Amino acid sequence: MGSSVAYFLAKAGKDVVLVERGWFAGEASGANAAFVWTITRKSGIDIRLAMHSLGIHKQLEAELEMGFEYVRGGGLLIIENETQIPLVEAHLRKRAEDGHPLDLIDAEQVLELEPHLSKERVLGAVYSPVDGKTNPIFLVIALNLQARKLGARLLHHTEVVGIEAAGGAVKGVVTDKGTIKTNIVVNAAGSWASFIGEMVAVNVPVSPFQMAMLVTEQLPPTVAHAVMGASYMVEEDAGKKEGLGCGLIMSQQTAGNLLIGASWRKAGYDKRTIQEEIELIARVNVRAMPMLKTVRLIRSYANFFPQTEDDLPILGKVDGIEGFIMACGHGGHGICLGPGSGKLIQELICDGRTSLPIDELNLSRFNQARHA
Amino acid sequence: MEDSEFVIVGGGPGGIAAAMEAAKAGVEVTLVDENERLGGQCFRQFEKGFKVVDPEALGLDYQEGQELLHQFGLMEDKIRYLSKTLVWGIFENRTIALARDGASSTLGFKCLLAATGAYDRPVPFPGWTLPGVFTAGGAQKLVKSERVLPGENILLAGTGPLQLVLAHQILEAGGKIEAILEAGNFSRNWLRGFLGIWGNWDFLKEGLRYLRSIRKAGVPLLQRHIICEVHGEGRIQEAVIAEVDRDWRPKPDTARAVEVDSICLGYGLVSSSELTMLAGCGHSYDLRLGGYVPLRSATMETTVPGIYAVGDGAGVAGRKVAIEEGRIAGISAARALGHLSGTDAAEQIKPCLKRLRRIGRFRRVLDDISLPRRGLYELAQDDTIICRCEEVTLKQLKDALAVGILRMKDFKRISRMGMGPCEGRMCVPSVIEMMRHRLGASAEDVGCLLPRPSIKPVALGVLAAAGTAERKTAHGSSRS
Repeated sequence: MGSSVAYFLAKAGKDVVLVERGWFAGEASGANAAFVWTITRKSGIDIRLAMHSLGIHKQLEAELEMGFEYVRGGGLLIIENETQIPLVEAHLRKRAEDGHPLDLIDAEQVLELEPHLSKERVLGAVYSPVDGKTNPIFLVIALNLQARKLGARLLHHTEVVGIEAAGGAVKGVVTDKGTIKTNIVVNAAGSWASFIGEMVAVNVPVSPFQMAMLVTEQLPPTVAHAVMGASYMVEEDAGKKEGLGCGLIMSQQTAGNLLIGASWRKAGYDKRTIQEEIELIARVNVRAMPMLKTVRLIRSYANFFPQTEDDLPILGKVDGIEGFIMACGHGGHGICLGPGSGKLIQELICDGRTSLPIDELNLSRFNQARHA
Repeated sequence: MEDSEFVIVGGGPGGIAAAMEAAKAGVEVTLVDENERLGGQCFRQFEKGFKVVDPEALGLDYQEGQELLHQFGLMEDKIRYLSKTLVWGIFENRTIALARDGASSTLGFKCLLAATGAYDRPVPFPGWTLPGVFTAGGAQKLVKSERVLPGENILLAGTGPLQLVLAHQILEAGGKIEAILEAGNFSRNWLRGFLGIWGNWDFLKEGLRYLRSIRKAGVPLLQRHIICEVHGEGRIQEAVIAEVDRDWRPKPDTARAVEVDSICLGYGLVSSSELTMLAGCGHSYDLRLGGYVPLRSATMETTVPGIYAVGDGAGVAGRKVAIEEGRIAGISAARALGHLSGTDAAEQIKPCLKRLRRIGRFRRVLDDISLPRRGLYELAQDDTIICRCEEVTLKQLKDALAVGILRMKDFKRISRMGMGPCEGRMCVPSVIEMMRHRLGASAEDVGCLLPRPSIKPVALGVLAAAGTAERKTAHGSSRS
């Protein structure tokens, strides 16, 4: 998120400093399903923002010097059992009413698109030709390198320890390596956004929600699409539940590795994966695609998605603190929504208005923005 | 799988010694090992079907190994031994994850010993990925347990006396050795090395015997020489060797080509410390000891209480050290688990410490020998692959440093280095050295890649079948 904001601001000629505690793509942007995905986005601002961002991904592909393996290979939301059908139908209806229709395809068509999927596990699917996958780490690095070329200063391995404010406006950012004077601060700290908020007494209702995935050895082309199980529609509040859950996620990276997942659980800020979830992910994926049985796992990873209560990001200015701008809470969709959100924040800062209205995404919707 | 008080990972000398000491004190011990047969790399046993006619030809380590294995055999009913079992993870709740009989399972422990050994130090130079390039350990495994020679015309290069052991074994198996290259110098690295590794005159005698057989076979011994690059179509056809200075940098105008079809590289060992790393134990970097090794107390305990580490996996020092450290860890675990009193444990540890001290006098020499010098990490050219799995080249490392990358995990993200199925074993040790030399930084600054489960590749079908093995056999244990 920060990288997109920094890139677009630098491109617009602004003097930008990106302060990063780690390095490029150190947290959730480096450990996710690598999807650029809209199928499950809800009607309203959710899908409008996703569609807008899809366009920006395309634009970046042309603008950035470093490639990031963005492939619009299509997305499939697999209907795995009968109970999912009414939910999927309701979703399709709402999306069509909103002007963003989706196609429903039958099992035979799904198996033509993804022949390794198990016949027993597929009733049909929602298909989206505009969805796809990317290399999220490369995307973030490409944005950073280009931003730096355009004059942005990147402060890696630098931690923000405070924000200076006076008279209801931000004045600077204090880091462990010195203070940066500024009158605009963008909070793009993902799952840590609430800590940045606290520095100016702003309550940012973003909490970490852990998702784990597995990486397999490299394979010849095996999974062409971004594949998700419709259980995610049923379990859309999964992140808020206790215990361990898992839904089908598959995407194959350009290098050939399959990223498969995904499990979720409340784990605070613990990034370590546990045996149970690794085995569960393997079970769910082997069931969906039996040929994976002999494919070897080489690594697992987990990260925290910055979850908000309504599953929508927080974008825009903060009432009462001039110059403090939110760009966080993108949940499990930071890679898809990042470039679009970054562009909108740049417009907000440079022009005072955005090409896509984002008032609905303002922090004030939580109605408790400031501490008493 | 039924939990065990004390779980030992690795069935080499250290693991065996620890298992025996702990079992003697009455501890429930489970020894987990990947191989079909006990002994580790050091005491590797022959594949079934081979019969040893002349044990002497195999050297003293083999004979000593047989003795230890025999002792272990006598205690077999007291130790649960799981062969062909891969440990793929260790978790917060005092459990490890196993892959065994085609299914994943969980094994709980109160104390755990990592006796995971070491592997040959990989060194990237032009041509090192060609077929016909072997590590000394890989070649030894071929010759020793399968009676297969690495090639028809073999060149050995590396440092330290273990090269002589391999040369001897190749000659015994009827192989032809073109030459043996020692990067350091003989008197320092070989004679003192024999003493250093084994700390024992018998072994010096053994070493001299090897030397004699090598001389008799007419194999040239070249000191202060290394292999700079190798060429060939589809397989090695020639190696370029050169004389080197004290930093192992080739001297100008000394390079010459040698026709060979295989090379065996023995530039020391790298500790396999991924298990203790994953367990969250503190580590420090010491190139002499084999890279990142766990910090340990005098009782072989790591910074995580109840987790012990011994042998080459905790600092490369050879099998004699591994055995003594293993004994100490076994006794200490028995003490921690309440099977021995403090005084009894101290009493039992005393002779081990004494023997360790004696070996320690020579240890410094060995450390000095196994320390790879800088020149070795300067052989790679721009197009030389430094990460084999992901085919990352030296040029990519240079480019990454040019855009300001300072840490290995950041280089990984930009290049995919270390993201392949070897999980960093083949590239991390040399990339640490290359990065720190180029950046003028410490190894700690460069950092490493933290392992994440699975620490070794496991088939998804094995993971998906978790729990089925227990249902198949009522008792999780089996003895082979």
